[in-house]
Amino acid sequence: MHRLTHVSTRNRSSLAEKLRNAVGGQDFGKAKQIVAGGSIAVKDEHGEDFRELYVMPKRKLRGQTQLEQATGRTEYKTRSRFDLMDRLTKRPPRSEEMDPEAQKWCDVWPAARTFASSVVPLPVRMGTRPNVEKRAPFKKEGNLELVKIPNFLHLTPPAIQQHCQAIKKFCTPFPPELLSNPSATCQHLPISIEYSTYIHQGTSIRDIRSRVVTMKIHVAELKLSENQMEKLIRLAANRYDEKTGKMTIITDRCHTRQQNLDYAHYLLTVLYHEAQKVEKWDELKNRTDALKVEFDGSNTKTKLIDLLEKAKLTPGLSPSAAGCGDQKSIDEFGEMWKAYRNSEETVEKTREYGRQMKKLLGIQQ
Amino acid sequence: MIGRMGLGRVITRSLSSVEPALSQKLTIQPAIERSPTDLLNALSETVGPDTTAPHFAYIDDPITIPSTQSTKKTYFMAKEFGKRAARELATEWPTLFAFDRDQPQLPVFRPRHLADPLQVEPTENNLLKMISSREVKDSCILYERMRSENVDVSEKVQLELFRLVTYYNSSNVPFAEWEEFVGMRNFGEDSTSSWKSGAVADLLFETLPKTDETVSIMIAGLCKFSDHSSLERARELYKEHRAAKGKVYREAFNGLIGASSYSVGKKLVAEMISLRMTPDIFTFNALLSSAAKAGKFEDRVKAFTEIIGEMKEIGVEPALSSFHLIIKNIIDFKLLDNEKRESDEQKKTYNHQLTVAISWLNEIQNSLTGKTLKPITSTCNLFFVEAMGIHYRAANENLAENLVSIYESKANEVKMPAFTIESMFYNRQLQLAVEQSASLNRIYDLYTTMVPRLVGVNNYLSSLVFRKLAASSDRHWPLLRRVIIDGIAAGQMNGVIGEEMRKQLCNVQLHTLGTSEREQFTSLVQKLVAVWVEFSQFTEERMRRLQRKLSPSQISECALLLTRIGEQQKAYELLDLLLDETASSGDEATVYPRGHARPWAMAELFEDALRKRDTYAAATCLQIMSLTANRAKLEPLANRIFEKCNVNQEQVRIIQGFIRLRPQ
Repeated sequence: MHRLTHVSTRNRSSLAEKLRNAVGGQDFGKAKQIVAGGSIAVKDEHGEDFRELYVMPKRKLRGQTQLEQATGRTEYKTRSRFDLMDRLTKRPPRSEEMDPEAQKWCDVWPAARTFASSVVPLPVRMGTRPNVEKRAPFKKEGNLELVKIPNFLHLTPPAIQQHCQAIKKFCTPFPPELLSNPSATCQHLPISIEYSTYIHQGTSIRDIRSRVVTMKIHVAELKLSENQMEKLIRLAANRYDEKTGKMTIITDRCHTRQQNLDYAHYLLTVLYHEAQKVEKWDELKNRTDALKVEFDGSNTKTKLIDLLEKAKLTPGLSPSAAGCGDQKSIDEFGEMWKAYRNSEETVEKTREYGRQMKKLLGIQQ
Repeated sequence: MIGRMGLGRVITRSLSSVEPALSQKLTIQPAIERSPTDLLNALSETVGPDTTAPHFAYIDDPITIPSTQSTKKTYFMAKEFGKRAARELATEWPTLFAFDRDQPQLPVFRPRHLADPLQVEPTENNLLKMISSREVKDSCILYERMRSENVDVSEKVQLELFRLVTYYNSSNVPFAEWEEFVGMRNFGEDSTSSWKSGAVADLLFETLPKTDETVSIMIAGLCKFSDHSSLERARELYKEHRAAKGKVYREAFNGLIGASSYSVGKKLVAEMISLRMTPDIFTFNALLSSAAKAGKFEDRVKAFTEIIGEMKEIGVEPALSSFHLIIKNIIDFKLLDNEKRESDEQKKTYNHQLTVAISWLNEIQNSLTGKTLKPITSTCNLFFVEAMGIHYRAANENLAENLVSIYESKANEVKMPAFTIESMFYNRQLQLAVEQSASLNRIYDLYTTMVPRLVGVNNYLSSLVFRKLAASSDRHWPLLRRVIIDGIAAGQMNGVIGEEMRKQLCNVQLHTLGTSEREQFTSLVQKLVAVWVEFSQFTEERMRRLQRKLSPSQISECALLLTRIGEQQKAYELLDLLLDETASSGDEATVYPRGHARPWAMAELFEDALRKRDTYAAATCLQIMSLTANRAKLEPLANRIFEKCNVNQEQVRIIQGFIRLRPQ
């Protein structure tokens, strides 16, 4: 705060100073010296006062002033700065006056904006300190870190609720069939389209990534036969996901999103019609052309049957084991073998292979 | 398109397959029609006014939120003049702004340079461009240049120019019609001018043939910018044209009616009706203007009643500007000034006219409640501020609140210009509410809601709130603190408001405040005293005009406040200034040499010093009080010092000697 000390010389002492002198304050000795010096009136032969010897000037010496400055005992005379009126126009932060009960926060912060410490009525801190246990991170006033990051103070739960209530009149009700039967969504709406919209605040509002269109089709809803489905899967290659049963078409070669969307529809049309075509060379298909390895007709099946015939003649094995050598057991083994060969090999699948083999040969555990 | 057609074929093929159709169809409701901005409008309805924020035109920061009306104008115009300066720079150094990478290109953001009428080619196309962009003076200069260079101007172009220069009196467009610079539109003050004789309008009128349109335009222009000679000329033109069996348009009739007295206006309306012209709202507004010129109050009220009756008979809905003309002119002009209502007869007349005005306003506001208000003329917005003025003079708070609700309802599309007329409107409403309200809580709510967002801090409002605080037996620290802080931000500390601040702060009972409120009190007092002392220390030659010296009363009150917050040392440093002769004389003086310390403040300081048994503080107070008190008053104080404090014989002798030297 302001220092009220003035460096001034008094012409007269005030009453308080006189009282201090009366009780023998710090100036007691000086007063006595003055009185003692004044009472000894030395006169020379001409009747004039004897001039006192000049030793030091009646002011502070330069060295004395420097010593005071070095030790911090200098008394500065303060001056008022000319921008006092401008400094006074600063108002207190308006977050101090906000009443949480009478005022709604979405009125204060209705949309996304940069963080303003005088508006946010929260004691937020952000930043790093070498020793956070000694000093807490920086406060919100003058904190540039808070200004840099995006804040979501406009999306408080009550604000979102109000926004939803406001735009509810533009929403149509959800189809009741889908509400009662969620699994029917794939049947009724087999195609879904995804794209992204980007927002900028630069010299250009365009973004080249906006043109990308992703179309996902539930392939089962195309009502294709087995051969047509196989052909479609071959044409789609890695765009078809067997687990989800969906085909994904991503188009980005045109400049605008609309053009890419039209191209995606075109691709779907072409694939659909190509899958339904039947060529003469389709009849030349044999076993090795299948998408998956089949158990029927494989060398494994032939060798397995031979092995079973030999096993019946071997005395070491149990010939009376149930299911040994019949067609049902061979079919069950075939199903396991097919899954084993057409999927990724794991330890469990290998063990299952072993168990089925033992079961088929009648080997006891 | 190819993709969509293909998809249609896909759907057709699926539907024509032998497989059975889906068990049930999907019910999809049709989309609700909405315009591109309907969603934004729906979302904006969830946002109400932020009563703690400034106007949206200002930067939301404690430093840049303006507190007073002059600061609002300064900050608002600073942005606009900054924009203008930027355009000047871009015009002067165009190469620095040649690099343009904006996508997409928006020509509306590019600077458009106005054509110079002395440099541009004198063709009709250029003249028409200037006319369409309403550059009145430039059009006149270009037209005169074309005439001097003997370039032929067709009659059609001359008629267009005649319309423009007659409407604007050969001057530029007034500030209220500026579109590009909103600051000048808000704060620019147009001067009312009379008709310019011998200008381009007169020249064109002599050149063009005397048709119904040209004569009507001329009459309307002469009446719009009317003085005595132009009105005479308008009437002469009207008589000549009527004598020549010509037809005068409604706009000319409206101008003549507005510029004439009521009886002449009624005759003109009768002539309009004889010419099978139906009066419209502008005709009735002009008639109301002429009726307002009647000198007697009874004549004006009778005329207003007749006109409103005629409007209802015909079915013309009165506009807000009609009501504005009525309520503005009900009360005699000479009775509006409170100082000039000297005699009781005048006061009685004024009260009667005010009662009639309130009755009219009550009926008007009842008719306006719930209706959609649209701006019809440019003076429709003035109705609200004029009505609030009537309510303020009559101290009618209920009608004032009703008026504010009418103005702020969603059905009202008539808005007053911000920072000027709207601020005056809300200022009157706030002052009326503060005067009439007995509850400090309500005053606090109103004050914090409107200041400084809608109403700037002004001396009258601050004095009014201080008066309310002093008159009330309750204590309201938040309101007092808020008003003082606003006073600091508005620069009201030096003067009568500063004295009122100190007085109110001295009246605060510290023991009734809470802990945080006490801290607020302490910081507020420290800030105030520091600022006052800083104002007194502008002792340099070039900054002496900013200096406000400390008066003895100010010093005593500040010392008392500092003592109450526990800063005795600073308090007595201030009091020592009163005993320092160099502080009140010479170039380095910081204390006003005249005046006296507050006796009640010094008495309280003296009692406080005795309570703390501080001999030197009590001596300082005694010495300061001795400047205004005589020996008979000082002896009891000295005896109390002897009783309470530990003084030795030497000190007793000094004090008694000091008192003995005081005059009787």
